[in-house]
Amino acid sequence: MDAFLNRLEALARLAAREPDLPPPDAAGLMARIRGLEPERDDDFFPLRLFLGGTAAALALAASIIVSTAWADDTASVSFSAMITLASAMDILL
Amino acid sequence: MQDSGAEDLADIKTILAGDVEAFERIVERHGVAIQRQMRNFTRDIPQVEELTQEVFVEAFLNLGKFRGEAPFRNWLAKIATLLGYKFWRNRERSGKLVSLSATAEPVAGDGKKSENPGDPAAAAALLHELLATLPDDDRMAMVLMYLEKLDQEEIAERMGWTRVKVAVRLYRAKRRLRKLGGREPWKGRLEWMLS
Repeated sequence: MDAFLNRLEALARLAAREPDLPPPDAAGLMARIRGLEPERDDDFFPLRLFLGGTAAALALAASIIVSTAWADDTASVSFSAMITLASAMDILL
Repeated sequence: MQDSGAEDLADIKTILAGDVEAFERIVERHGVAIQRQMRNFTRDIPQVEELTQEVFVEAFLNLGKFRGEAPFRNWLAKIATLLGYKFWRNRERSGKLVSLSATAEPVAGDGKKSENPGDPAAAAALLHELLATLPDDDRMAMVLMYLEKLDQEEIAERMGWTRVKVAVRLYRAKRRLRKLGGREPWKGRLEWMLS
């Protein structure tokens, strides 16, 4: 190891002996915490997946019907499919 | 560090069952360590306190996602690292220069007169002042390696980086610091501090 890195390590070792600050204000923090509730995102994931999937399937079916009935071109179908995908992602995320 | 895994798991279960007050024990057990960690991101004490609170609020909100596969302390340290990193990035994005006064106590002139050789607090201030000259990613890699004593694999895991990215960041950081540390006033200040 070169001289500079030795010096840097020595500085880091010295810095590690810096005294700690007083412990954080646990009471103040608890006042902030009360009223909050831990999120349980993962518990809802299967439900969100189901809702997202159902919404996507319905929207895709509707967009294909609409585009074949009123706008008979591929670009319109692709655009509708993109909107569908975006809606599904929105629900999922 | 003492093993508090079983106590942490018991408190987490209690909190998730609805007794929020058990979180205070978690704060008391890990507060000082997290505060020490947040001092690697800023030397401004009110900001350290605020960041420490943010870490615990974030941990509390995400407690349901803790799977207990790794020690709770590691999970908490990861939240702290990511929040500290975000703090650096937000300062940068908001157009504020990373002020050295927020990362180290002010020094006069070449710094030697106000720094006592061998003083740990002055050494920490000098070290952070030096690290603050690096880009955020390089600085992060150096902080994790030299101050949190993680190896490259642990840094990669903590940051969600590849091992190659960690190695590149460390290489660049060391090269840059070596260049800087060889010039005045850094050279003189380092020698003075370690004399």
